Amino acid sequence: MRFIIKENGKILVKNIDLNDCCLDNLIPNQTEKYFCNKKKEFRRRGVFKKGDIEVLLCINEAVDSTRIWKSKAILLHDFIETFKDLKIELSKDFITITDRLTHNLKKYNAHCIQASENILDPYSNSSGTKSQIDTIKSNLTLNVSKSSSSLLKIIKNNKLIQAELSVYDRLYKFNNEKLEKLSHSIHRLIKATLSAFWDSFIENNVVVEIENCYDEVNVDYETITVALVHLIDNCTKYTCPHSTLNITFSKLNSKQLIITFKMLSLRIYEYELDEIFNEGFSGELSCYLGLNGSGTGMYIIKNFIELNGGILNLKIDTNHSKNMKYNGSEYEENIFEIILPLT
Amino acid sequence: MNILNWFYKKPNIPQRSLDDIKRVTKILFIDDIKFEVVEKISTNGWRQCSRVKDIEDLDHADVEKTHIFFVDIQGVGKKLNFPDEGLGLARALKEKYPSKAVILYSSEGKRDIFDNTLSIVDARIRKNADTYEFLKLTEKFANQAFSLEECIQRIQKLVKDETGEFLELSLIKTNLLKVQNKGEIDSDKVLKAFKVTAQSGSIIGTIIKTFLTHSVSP
Repeated sequence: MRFIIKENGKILVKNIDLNDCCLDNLIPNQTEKYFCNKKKEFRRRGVFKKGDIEVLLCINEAVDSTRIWKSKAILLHDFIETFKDLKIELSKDFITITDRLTHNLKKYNAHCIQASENILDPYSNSSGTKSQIDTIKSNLTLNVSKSSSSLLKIIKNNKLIQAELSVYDRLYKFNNEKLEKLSHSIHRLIKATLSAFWDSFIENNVVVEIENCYDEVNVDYETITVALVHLIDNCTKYTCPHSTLNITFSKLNSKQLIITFKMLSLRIYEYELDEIFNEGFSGELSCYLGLNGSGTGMYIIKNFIELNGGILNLKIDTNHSKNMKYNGSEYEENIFEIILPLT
Repeated sequence: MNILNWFYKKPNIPQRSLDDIKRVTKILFIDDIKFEVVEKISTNGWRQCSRVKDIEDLDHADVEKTHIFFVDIQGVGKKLNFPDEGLGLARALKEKYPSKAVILYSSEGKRDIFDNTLSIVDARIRKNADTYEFLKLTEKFANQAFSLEECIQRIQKLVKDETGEFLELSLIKTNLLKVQNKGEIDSDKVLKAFKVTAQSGSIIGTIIKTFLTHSVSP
């Protein structure tokens, strides 16, 4: 069976080479028997037209082949209607993914622009490039702490942009590239990631206490950093102001290390536990406070830790022993446990 | 441990620290645009790290002396007329120097072509990776060239892939010394000592040559 399916004259699907085609110049809704020089046999060909769709079809000639030809043509016609819907659905999915990417990139880029304009506003200085460095120097020294925090904001948002691009590459581009698993000091990885977020912790008066650890883990730097960036970004958003984030390490056994992030953060309800790691889920309280993003954070953290042969556990305080309210929001002790393979 | 102890006494097989390895490793970035990572790698102790805009000749002494290549996918390989730019250059380098490390980096990748070349090169890294990642990869491949353990593992793998035979550590160490002839690697001796074909033999020969002949410079 060889066919070409057209919509308004434009080819949608074909399984035949157009240069080698015997389906030209046919009369619509009629079939004819002909001798195919290529296949050296008699065949039946014709065009079935309904609405905007044209099915050009050629099949083996046999007894009752006109009827067979028609049923096949109708089948192809009906199939193409579903195919068109499928194509629209697929492009919608793709648009959702790219929309999310561009939306997040724009958000981070906006922060970068704001912060960099604190250091050099391109419109405030018209005296030419020669004095640009001097202008920056004086801007930097005029308000040292503001400039430093602007730089930190640029660093943080660049880190988030980098993570966003890695997520897009890994999760949505059917990327099967192998991970580059090497031995890394876990303490160093966490501190490097934290360093981009100091400013946000300071803004909320959150103290970060990180225990010493000299163990090395066997992980892929890119993906594990993405997980850490998202986890720490969540910590800056959801940790109760004036509280402490504790990061501790312990060995589960000779092959696995447990990294514990213990914090007083926005209450996670028990019924949310099953869903929190699903793509697109945002917690009730975070939505209420308008802190929620696209709901992919936890999904990404879990996914990327598992890519590295690790496990992510979330433990909430079922006794509500530390339950408290701050500015009208409910906070509780939440523990995130990451288990990673030791080198 | 006995074997190792015996081995340490041999003065002509180098045992290198990371600092020693940093001193002898030659790293070449091939990128038409200035890339700050190059400087950062140098300031991290890899003194012999530099960048060229493109390569005109695969036999050039600078290319021949290099141990680790970082090749940008866009904008290079033009002088040697590779239609797929850096990908073609990376493939050519790997073909000519199978024992040297070739790492591709790019900000964008056409998936289908990319995957094909990816199986030939040693690693791939995103252009927007942290300097730390570039350093880690450099360290990994420098170790492959200059640490005794890694060289032995590479030779073991090459021999095993070809003959299915697992060569003992001690045997490889003995062979390492045997294949030298007045400071040069004797390819016939390599073939004889490791019982491999000429193709693997030449790779093993280069691994040993790189490992032995780069004495630690002061």
